[in-house]
Amino acid sequence: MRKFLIGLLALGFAAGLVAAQEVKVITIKAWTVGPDDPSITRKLNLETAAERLNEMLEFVGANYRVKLEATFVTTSWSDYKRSNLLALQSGDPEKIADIIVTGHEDIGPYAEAGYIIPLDEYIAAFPEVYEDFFPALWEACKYKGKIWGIPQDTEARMFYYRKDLLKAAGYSEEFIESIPAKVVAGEFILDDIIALGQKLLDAGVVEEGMAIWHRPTPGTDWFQFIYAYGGELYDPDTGKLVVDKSATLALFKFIKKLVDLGLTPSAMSQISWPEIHTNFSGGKVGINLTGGSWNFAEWQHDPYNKSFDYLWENIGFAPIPAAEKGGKPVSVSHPLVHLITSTSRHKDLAFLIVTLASAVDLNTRHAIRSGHLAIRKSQLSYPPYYADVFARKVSELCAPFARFSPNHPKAPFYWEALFRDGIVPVEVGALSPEQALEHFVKRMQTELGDQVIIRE
Amino acid sequence: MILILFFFLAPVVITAVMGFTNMDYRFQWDFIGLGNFYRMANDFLVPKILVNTVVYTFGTLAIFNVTFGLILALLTTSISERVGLFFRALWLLPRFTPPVVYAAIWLWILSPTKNGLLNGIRVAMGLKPIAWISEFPWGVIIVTNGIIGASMGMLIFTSAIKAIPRDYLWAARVDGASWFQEVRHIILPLIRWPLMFITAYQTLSLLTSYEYILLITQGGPFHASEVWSLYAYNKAFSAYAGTYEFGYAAALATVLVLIGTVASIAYWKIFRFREMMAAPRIEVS
Amino acid sequence: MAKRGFTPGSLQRERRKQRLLRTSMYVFLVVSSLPIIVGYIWLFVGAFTGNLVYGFVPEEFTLKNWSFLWKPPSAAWPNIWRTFANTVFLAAGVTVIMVVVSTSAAYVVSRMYFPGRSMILASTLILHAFPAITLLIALYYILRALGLLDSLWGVILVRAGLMVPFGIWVMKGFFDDIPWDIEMSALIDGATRFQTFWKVMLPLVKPGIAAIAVFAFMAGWAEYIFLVTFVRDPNSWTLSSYINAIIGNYRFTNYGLLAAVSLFYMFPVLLFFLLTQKLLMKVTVGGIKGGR
Repeated sequence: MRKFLIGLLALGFAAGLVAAQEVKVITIKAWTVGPDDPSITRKLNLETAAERLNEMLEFVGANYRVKLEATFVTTSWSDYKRSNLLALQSGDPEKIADIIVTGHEDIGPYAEAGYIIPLDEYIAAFPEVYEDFFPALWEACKYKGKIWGIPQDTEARMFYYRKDLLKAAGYSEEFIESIPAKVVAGEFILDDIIALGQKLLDAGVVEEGMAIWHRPTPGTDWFQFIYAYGGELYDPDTGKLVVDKSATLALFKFIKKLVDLGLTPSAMSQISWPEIHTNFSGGKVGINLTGGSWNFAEWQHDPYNKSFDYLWENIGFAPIPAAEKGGKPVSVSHPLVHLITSTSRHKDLAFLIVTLASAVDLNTRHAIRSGHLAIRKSQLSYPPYYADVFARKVSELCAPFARFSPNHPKAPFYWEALFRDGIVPVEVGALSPEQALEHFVKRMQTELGDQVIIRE
Repeated sequence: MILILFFFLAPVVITAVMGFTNMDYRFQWDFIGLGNFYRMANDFLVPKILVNTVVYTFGTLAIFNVTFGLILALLTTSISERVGLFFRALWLLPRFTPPVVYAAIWLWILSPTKNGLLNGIRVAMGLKPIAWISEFPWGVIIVTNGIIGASMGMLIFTSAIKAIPRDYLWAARVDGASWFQEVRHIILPLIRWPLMFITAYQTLSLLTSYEYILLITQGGPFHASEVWSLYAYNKAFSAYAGTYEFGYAAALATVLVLIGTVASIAYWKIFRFREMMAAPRIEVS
Repeated sequence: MAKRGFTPGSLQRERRKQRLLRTSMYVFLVVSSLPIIVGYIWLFVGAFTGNLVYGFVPEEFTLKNWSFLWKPPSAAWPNIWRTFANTVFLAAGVTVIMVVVSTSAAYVVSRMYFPGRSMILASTLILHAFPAITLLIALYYILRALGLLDSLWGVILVRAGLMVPFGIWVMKGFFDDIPWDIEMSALIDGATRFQTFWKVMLPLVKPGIAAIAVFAFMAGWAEYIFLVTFVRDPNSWTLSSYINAIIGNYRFTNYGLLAAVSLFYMFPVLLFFLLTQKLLMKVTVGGIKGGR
């Protein structure tokens, strides 16, 4: 913290030289997004940080204060990103915020277009703060060897299973409770999920096609299976996307098996979200293959309204298991990041506010209120975070195995195509896994050209 | 006129020009000539999408937007005014409804599980549930869009029918004309303009509409219900992150306009548009 | 059409046929409207129950979904009545501009000759084939040049501009159908062109105005994409932004609230429709005599 104060003093002093006596107000603008309402702490934390900064400025007798003007968007991600992008291209500092909170996937395009600045030097100035961040998170902030963003929060993806239904199907309590540990140890693999589903169906605990469900839409969730089957998505040396044919084929075959065995309905992609959540949180479906840490909070709200105790007692979770015994599980997470724009007139101050907003107490307030996970190691032992059993358990189980969607401008196309041109045709029976692979590769090549490397 | 110029013609021209650039998230106007159109010609999904677009546009148009709109207009103006108004209001409801809510209603009706309305009825009758969207991708997008689309024709035709002087109809009735004869010989000839206009206008509207398809089938499964404008939307600003290929999207939109122009010229010939467009017979100014 | 004699027997037969025709009309209307009726009953029930009705039987009756009327469901959201006022402003703005511009332009196009007239008419129609979303970038440039970003006025003008071609085309049809004799006699009586338009022509095209006004109002009421793209401030939200904020993400979606807000959203449009229909659909038949 000492270096930080020295920096602050220097800033205050420098500003003091410019204009004597008079107290100037500097406006820092920020764009933040939910889109879920509880995440308003993304905005509130920046505001609190600005207040704290002002207290310090007053303490050191600086002759300026900051005023934070933040917007918080709750409509949708695409609305937010669309209006950001249009404003950014104007290059007009009046229209562009100093700080942007967004998904890490925007780093690629924004950095490429010169809308944001690399932050390596700024980060080096505050080791006390930034060395405390989980190292894996920085991977999501890198593009072409530089760090462009400060992690704001993260979540984890996992699969959920109904403990009550597994018990009804004849599994022992010990076995059910040991699943997470076995997944972590690499003893419980992807095919064992199929075995669970099969038993649920055979025992008549679930109806046909209700054993294993998954999300009906594209998402980074599907990348987990490519990683689980040993594939890669990105080649850091060339900065290109990678399609790993054998891992992709393995995923398609896995999907085919789910449908052929009657565990998953072939029309899974046509079932709406509320119906999926109603059925899983209501105990009609045994396994939710592509769950997220936010689901737990979601099921406690309208219209599902399950109590935390009920969920904790009946639903278990673990990261996505490896494909082969002894392998490592995987959990793709999607960190949000703070970015500093290149048009900002007060980059230093903006960065200071981001640094102060990353304080353990503020970030924990955000994580707990909005169902997100810690970004700093010291949060795990910070009492309010420790007291949240669900968040702590997710951090323990999933954080060590965190992977990310590649920071490539075309990564969203990748996950869209993987689902729509691969998983869905296999699932509805339009293509065999081999045909789907061929089609998927062809589509990736047509759209991405030399931006994609195809590996056998 | 200035309004149209600024907010309609200018953006359209800018967009058409954008079709010749490879503009992306960097917003640079790099002209690449016909590059986008070349790429389109080599896109192996394009033929499938083109077929979907044609089937969707003309299917919806023929079944719902014109035919059903006309039937509704004729029926609701033939029965008592109050009941007629009630049914018109009922058919306008889908158009008043926020798209996401309208889509939610259909997702409930079409759900592939037994919780859906249609499959619930099937299961109650002892049949197996059907994956409606997989089985009838075209049918689904035609019906769901048609139920909204019919109301525009209905309303315009109703207004036109109401504007027909009552004398004509009374005269016909005194002559003992049946309802069908009345429709055939008096109403239809008098609402030729709106009929033709709705056909042409709705062709273009349907060509550009993708919102309900996006919400209900997402163009799936496996592009079975993906139409041209949805494809263009996905290229520009799609749901989660988008691919930000603004130049290519603009080129796709330009091709859509070409398709629209071809259709319009065809209508021009069929409906003898020129007569309608004829200059005023008497000029006083 | 052959004339028939009015013998008592044929009259009775005629009546029976009429009744059969009416009945079949009603049956057809009811049957074809079934999906709409059932769908909206589901929505209505959803607005008054706590748990989503996935399946058929609602679980409990509650008014809690309606609490958004006096208390915003989230701290990040504006007051519903302010949102409502914005929506009314936007929809009314679009309606007024669109009706005034397209009615007068249609009159000009229908009654006066100027070079390039049919070209302009045809091109507005064809350009309608541009999907609005692909125009977003171009519109951003234009609004920025005009300094209309971040204002509801910019959105109103854009929306009205996109609706005007539709209005012109519909209204031209209505003007075309008014016989010249009527206008001529007014002009001969010494009225100016504008007086003729205002006093003689407008009353005759009221059904047309009723039709386009409903569509303009609806377009303004439903406006969403331009608003959220060009205006950042949540205080300028309209009801459709509100609805999109409810479902905005897959997280924490409250479907009971969604159903309730969408009923609240739909009611004023329905009211506007019924009012315009009542007011404008009754045409004064007076002036029209003879065929074309």
